[in-house]
Amino acid sequence: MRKRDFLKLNLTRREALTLGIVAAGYSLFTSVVRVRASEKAGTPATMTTILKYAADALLPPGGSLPQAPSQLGVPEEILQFVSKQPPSVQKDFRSALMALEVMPILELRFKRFTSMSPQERVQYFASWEKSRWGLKRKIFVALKSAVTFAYFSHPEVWEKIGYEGPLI
Amino acid sequence: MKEHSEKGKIYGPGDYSRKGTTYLSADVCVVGTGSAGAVVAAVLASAGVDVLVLEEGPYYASEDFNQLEHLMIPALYRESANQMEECFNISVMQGRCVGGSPVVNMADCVMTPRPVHEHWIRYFGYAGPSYCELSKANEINTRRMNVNKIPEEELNENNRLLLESARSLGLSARTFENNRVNCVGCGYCLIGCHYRAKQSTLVTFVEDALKDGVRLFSRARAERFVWTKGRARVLEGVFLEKDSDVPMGRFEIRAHEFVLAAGAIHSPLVLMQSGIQIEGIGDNLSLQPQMPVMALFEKEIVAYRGIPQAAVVDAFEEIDDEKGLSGFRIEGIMAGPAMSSSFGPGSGLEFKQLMTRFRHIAAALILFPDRPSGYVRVKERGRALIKYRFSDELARTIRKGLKEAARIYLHAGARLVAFPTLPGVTVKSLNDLHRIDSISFTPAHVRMISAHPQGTLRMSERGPVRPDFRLRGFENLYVCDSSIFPTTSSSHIMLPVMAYARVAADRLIQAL
Ligand SMILES: Cc1cc2nc3c(=O)[nH]c(=O)nc-3n(C[C@H](O)[C@H](O)[C@H](O)COP(=O)(O)OP(=O)(O)OC[C@H]3O[C@@H](n4cnc5c(N)ncnc54)[C@H](O)[C@@H]3O)c2cc1C
Ligand code: SF4
Repeated sequence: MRKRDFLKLNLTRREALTLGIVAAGYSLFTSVVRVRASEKAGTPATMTTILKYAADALLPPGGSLPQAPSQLGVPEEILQFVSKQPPSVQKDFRSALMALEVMPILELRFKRFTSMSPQERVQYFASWEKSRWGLKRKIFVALKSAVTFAYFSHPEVWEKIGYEGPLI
Repeated sequence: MKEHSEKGKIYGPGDYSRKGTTYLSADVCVVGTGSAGAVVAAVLASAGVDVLVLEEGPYYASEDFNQLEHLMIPALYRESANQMEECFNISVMQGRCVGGSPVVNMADCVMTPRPVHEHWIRYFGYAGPSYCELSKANEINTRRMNVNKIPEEELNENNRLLLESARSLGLSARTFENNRVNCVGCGYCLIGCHYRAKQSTLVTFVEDALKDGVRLFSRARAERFVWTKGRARVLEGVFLEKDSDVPMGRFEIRAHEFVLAAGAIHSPLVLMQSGIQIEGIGDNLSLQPQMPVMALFEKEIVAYRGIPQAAVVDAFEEIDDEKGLSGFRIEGIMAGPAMSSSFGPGSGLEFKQLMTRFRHIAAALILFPDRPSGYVRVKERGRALIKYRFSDELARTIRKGLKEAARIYLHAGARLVAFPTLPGVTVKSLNDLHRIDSISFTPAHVRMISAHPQGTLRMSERGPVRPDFRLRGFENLYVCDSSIFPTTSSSHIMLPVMAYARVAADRLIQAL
């Protein structure tokens, strides 16, 4: 994938501020956790991991399309694309992933997104689509567009949906 | 030979210097190579004018269009077809390549209806080209683009089903006029026609302009005019890298006349970046939002092959000189799986399951001609902030349109009709139609498309563009693209833009 701007979130000033606070909270949280916790569960997740779990929550493995996005390298493709975007887009993208990671804690679920079970992640992220908070819906739309676009660009997936691909 | 002086050539990043500033000059400098820019350049060049054209996007020849969405969409569309308005409800799609939006458009040809023109005269103090003058220009353009009517025998199942179901409900429906010749029905119009069948600007007016000696600079973004005393003196800008928007060197252009044809989002941006403050620049944006609809059938439809957009249900469209264009129309369409999936409803296994039935999905866009309801401002250099508000009236019309589309598909035997809303709304029988009433138009609630942004530099009594196409207060700066329409000009605006562009070029020739 080359230039794709799915992850530009067009944040309003208030949303940017909220994301900033969430991001700051997340950094604080992860630094505290890093100091206090010794085992894996407390290790702050990398952007790749959050994106991987988000992608697999949007298009979970199973059904007649068995592959999950992570099995096809979709998160890596998206990250590579983002790395070539203007700094403002990269920043929005990181903030969006951080918000997804830390929001469950702020909502008193006592777990980060990446610490949830796969089933919980599917249900949790799907709830963002129905959220009354516009920011959550924006993040949902942006990530869904990026993930589905990349996923349905793979010939392995075309085969399963009966799309023959280019005619030339 | 002087640098960059070879006539009839398309220059690209390989020809540009990374160091210092490149200085260029011409009689006329045109910004943009879309519907407006390509026509203006071709008409001027045919009259022997020395024309230099700038295009921000890259150059791809027809044979480069490889039918792969994940490569062609980022290459040919502005912001990879995800230029979102601020509320995240509408993706404003624009071509950004040599040839502009017609390279990726659906080739539907609909000229401005006369009552719309009358509406502008009546309510906007419009005193621009007469309908007769525009019709003559349109005739020449459509001849060059081989505009013809799609025979019903050539409809694919997706379009046939829409047409027949509508007719059997007593609704008016017909095929489009289009600019395709020897179409092989591959279905990839949205990512460039490999076969030169779509008679877009790329294979018509751009080629004509080059034959007549135009110098075309691709990956060259116009940024700002340097101006004094009502004259644009210099146009400054940057050359961009081949595959990213990183600037690689600067340029300055001197010309007697400048023509701005960068489209309704970016023409006002260039003026704002130039510090030109004229009332109305960037205001009065119409987006003509379109709502995608998918309908799942038991039988195979294979909507992604054949002429993608060929039939229209026009029963609900209203055209009169009181309101101009209003109501809605339903047009069959389908993209490849990557683009289609991002407009599918919901997520999770259910959504994936729906996509496995890709061959069984019929699809359409419901197009809503709107009142101007937004504006454009500079977000970052070269990037637009697009603000748009759905009026209550438009929201009501959209809900009505979705219900009518659902009715047509259910009548045709659809198992399920789905709309890309948040949360997703699906309809399985007429009893479910009330679900459409719950659709909200506050931020990030719908996934609509705009392919026809217009109106941000109105040609009207008090608008920023004068009846002779000159920017108010300027002698040598012309605007002739989709930004000049006082309100929405047609359900498909390529022909109106081209007609105005031809008239503008004729006037400019007289003025030179
Ligand atoms: C997907 C899609 C489908 C469509 N389908 C149809 C259809 O079927 N029928 C129809 O009639 N219309 C259709 N349209 C709309 C139609 O093609 C456009 O509205 C029309 O081409 C607008 O003409 P324009 O000259 O104003 O802008 P464009 O054709 O968009 O051209 C503007 C050009 O200017 C360039 N540019 C912008 N800023 C700068 C800058 N600063 N410096 C240098 N260059 C710049 C852009 O890259 C672009 O190439 C469609 C559009 C899209 C996107
Ligand atoms: S459907 Fe026809 S016009 Fe469209 S890309 Fe294919 S051959 Fe070209």
